Amino acid sequence: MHLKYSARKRAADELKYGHIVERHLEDGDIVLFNRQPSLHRMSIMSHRARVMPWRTLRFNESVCNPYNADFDGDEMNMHVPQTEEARTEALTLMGVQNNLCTPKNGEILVASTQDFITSSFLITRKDTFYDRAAFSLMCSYMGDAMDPVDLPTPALIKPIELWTGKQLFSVLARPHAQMKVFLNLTVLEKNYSKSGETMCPNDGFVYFRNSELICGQLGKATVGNGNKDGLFSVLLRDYNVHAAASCMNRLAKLSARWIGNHGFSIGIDDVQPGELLNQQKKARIDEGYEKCDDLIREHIKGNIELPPGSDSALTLEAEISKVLNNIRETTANVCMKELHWRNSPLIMSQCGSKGSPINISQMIACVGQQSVGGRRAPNGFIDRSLPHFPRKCKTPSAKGFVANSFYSGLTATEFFFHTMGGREGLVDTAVKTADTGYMSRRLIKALEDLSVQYDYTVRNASGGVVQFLYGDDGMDPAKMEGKDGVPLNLERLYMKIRATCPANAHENLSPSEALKKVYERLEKPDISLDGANKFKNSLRDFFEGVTDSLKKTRKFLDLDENNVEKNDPSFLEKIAANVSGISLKQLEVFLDTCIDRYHLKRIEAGAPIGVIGAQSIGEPGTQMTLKTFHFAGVASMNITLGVPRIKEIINGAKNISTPIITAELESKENVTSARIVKGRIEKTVLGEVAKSIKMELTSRQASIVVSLDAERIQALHLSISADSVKRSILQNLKKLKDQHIRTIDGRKIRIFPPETDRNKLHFDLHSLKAMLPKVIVNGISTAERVVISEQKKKYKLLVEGKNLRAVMGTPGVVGCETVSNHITEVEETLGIEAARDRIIYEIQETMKGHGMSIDMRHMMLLADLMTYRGEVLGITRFGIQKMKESVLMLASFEKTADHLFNASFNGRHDNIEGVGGFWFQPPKNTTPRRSTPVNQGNPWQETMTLMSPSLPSGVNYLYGKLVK
Amino acid sequence: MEQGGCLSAFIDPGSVESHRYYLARRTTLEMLRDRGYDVPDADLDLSLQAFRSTYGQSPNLEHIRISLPLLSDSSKKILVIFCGTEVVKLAMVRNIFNQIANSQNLNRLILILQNKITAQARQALAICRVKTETFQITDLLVNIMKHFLMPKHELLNLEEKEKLLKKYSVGENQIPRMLETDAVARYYGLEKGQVVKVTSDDDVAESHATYRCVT
Repeated sequence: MHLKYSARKRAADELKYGHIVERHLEDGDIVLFNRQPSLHRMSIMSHRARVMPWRTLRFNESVCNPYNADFDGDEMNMHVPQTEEARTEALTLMGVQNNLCTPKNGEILVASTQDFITSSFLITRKDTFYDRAAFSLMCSYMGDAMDPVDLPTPALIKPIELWTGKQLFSVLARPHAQMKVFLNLTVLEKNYSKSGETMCPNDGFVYFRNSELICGQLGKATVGNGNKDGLFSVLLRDYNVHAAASCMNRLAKLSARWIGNHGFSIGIDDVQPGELLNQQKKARIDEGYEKCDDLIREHIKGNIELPPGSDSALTLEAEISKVLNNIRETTANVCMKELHWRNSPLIMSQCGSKGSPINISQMIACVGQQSVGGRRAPNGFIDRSLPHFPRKCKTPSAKGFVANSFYSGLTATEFFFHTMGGREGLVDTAVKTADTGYMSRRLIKALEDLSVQYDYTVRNASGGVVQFLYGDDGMDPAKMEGKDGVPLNLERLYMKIRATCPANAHENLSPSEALKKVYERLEKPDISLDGANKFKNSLRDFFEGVTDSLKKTRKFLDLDENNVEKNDPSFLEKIAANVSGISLKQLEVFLDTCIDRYHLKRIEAGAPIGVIGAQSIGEPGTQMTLKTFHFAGVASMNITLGVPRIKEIINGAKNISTPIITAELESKENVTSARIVKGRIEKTVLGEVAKSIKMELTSRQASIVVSLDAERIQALHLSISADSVKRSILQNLKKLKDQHIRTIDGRKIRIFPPETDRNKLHFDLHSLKAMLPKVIVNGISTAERVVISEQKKKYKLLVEGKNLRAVMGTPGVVGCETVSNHITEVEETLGIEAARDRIIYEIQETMKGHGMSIDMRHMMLLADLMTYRGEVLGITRFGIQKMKESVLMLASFEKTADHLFNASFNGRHDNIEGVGGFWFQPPKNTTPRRSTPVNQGNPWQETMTLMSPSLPSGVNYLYGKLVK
Repeated sequence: MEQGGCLSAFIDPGSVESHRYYLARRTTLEMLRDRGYDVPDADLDLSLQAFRSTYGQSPNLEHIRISLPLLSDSSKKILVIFCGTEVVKLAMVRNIFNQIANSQNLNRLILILQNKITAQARQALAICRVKTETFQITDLLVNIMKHFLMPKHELLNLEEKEKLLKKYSVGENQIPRMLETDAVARYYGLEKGQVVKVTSDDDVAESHATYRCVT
């Protein structure tokens, strides 16, 4: 019944016992908020509703990141849980405050964006001063007049009281003295000058000490997402969710209100190039064009210097691309330098809130080279890209270099090239979404039932062990503080302890004493858990570093390195203590904090780590751009990267598009020996080493004479002789026998056709002549190409092709250090454990190539799942079929009818245990899905038997029978 | 082929054949030692030159055979036979059986092949009283256990295996598996039901072990 259109009074009078009266949403109600595509668990979170006028959903900009939302017409969905139980569950499991960090890698995801970063940047700029009125006003922006604020001492007192913008952020971090939040952190911002720390001329070194902003202009690294040592991350880790969330709120309120008054927008004058910039740009472009012309002239003459394994045309392209990219980069640099410091795009790019130097330079100076498929614009017409250019023209402007800026306007041809690049981008995104979407689904299906048990093993629904200890250390990836998934950032913690718990009256420990205390503490039983060794070692190493630096300081000050004089009032002792001393109290607090936190960071039993892992690998897939990538150090050797590569690895593909074997050499520093080994591996066919293959017809006999090109053979360091060629011909062409081939003087081979029928002789000769050039006379038949790569005067071979075993066994190659990027091949040659290692490595490398960091533990779990059956199984319908026992789970994936039919025909059993089974037959008791029952084994376990039909005529192939 | 003086250092003066036999034989000996056979150190440390001077540039396959007893039980012996470059046929397998017919305490046989083996010959091997394994010589040119990707594998004895299964309260088929045809399983000659402990870092203290059951 709708209250708007009915007589409310009457409806109220007619209410009876048993009617359900629904109410409207009220302020403070708990709702689930969701935006598709729901790629990870942070795509649906629980919020507290606030009912406001009009028909839009509004939310804090800080949660744009997890939803991947913007306000260009996005639609989102909202659900209202109806029972108290559901509300509690939503709040504790899905609440925004409990999902600040992504389990992908432990970075903070809910953080300030865009304007919030910009205003933090502007407020904390050097030379910003506020008088009492302005400063107090800004302090009042932070809250809703509900919280007390203690004004700090003004930075300037005479002639008038002035506060700096940085002081405002000290207030923001700790508004009043009753608040026990002591924030300690150092962050390197984007504009940090790489040296000088706190004295950085760009003010890029952010230093908070006991909640006071000492120096540094805040930017994305400090208040934005994707950093583990940022302001909010540190608040979250060192204090609690509430501290981080309320600080984020204060910043949001301050920023929204402040920037509304201050004003921040861009206009046409922001993108007008100055006189100097125009000159410089012209000079750079002319210079670049000159270089390109030189290169093209050299290319036509044919004296371009070739790197190993590529031809002249390719090299020319590579060189020209390099020059043209350089033009754009240098103009971008000039552009950034020439802009006024108040230029809005410049400010945004500097603080990291939006836009990069390249974006700015494209607007103001030069759009740069447009590429299609990683190359310059292709030829759509005969020998030219567009009819505006002469044929075979390779000049920058004819191949898609856009010298104009968006401000100056593109010429017709430039505009066309720009659309070509733009079109490719659009097509790529459209194709990729489908690809990654399916990949995510398969990953989820394969990993959905893996969860952590009370004994920290990771098991599937039927109790099979996939990992004996999750991630080899049992840590929760969402809670990792350090880089590369290390549980704690010891350096930061140490700094915090030294700041918050000053030594003052306490005596400092000598280096050896400190080390002894650490060793003693590490022997205690509370950190003798499984997998704690790595953590213990890191603590030990850290303290060895600390004591080393202490020793160094003391040596520098001419003090006794190992003995701290007790009660020595000398100033040198004091300096040493101040620089790197540590008191007993500090040490104890530090160690206890570390160990306590370590325990809290263990993964909870029942965590659905499989799904989390699948999401953590699937979600970044959607963000990967660029299909191929150049191999470091070697031109012209492409390896597949990005989504296609991830797909190959995950599918466990038998044939991958770019198999590459990296072979270490026995003599690493010698090019000649590298060339010899290369000759042994690379596939060489007779056609490549023969000077001529001729037919010789005399009155008595017909034959084919092959004469070898001795110079070429020697130049390539091949071990080919007429005899070896004879042997390979015999092996390859089975119809030839020993008597058919004769070698002459080591250079020539005469081959007589085996055909005896004179009428067919001529055909036979011709077919022989056609086959001979393709006979493999040297090397490994699957090694298509071998490139010698050089890094720091060390040579190694990159073999494009397969057959790892043969490359490993080649003399001159160090077999034990030779690897392939082909996973199934590694499995065949080195076994399942090596294959597992490679899966982890390859996924990690591919992700790294796109600047994505994913916790190792997710990759390990995936690799373990792919290998736990003893062979490498792909995450495809065939592989998953071998991984899982449950018929219902398989039916819920792909080929539903086939699985159900087969299962019923064979009378298969299905203990409904995993997530997949629950779809068909939900468990009766409504335990939250996330938890593992307290007793091992599932209490609600029911068995559904898939019966074989008595008669195939029955329509009902499947029916359930409940057995308790 | 004429080579400059500097290049000749990189060219192996001996035959390729003897080099292959040398490598394969050394890997086989290392493998036997890892399996617990009594391999004399002198044999293991044999250099290529010494090998060539003992067995010649094209070694006689009879001479480079290996016959060794188990360290723990010297009555159990193993025999390694190198086969020639021709296809291994039934007649040849029969011939080998005749040779070993009167050696009672032989309980394992390894054939090192350089060519294909016919289906009949393979069948004959399967029903032989002595357990027989075959390796291609190309598999043995490099000792895969020394490969840098290879984690440490240790075989658990029956007691340890039971303890492990009990600790995690799982059945044999509920822990990760390793195929009998896996490179590592073949190297150690593992049989169904045996469990290996895999420690994936050379520094044992740092890493955690996982286990695989051969199936």
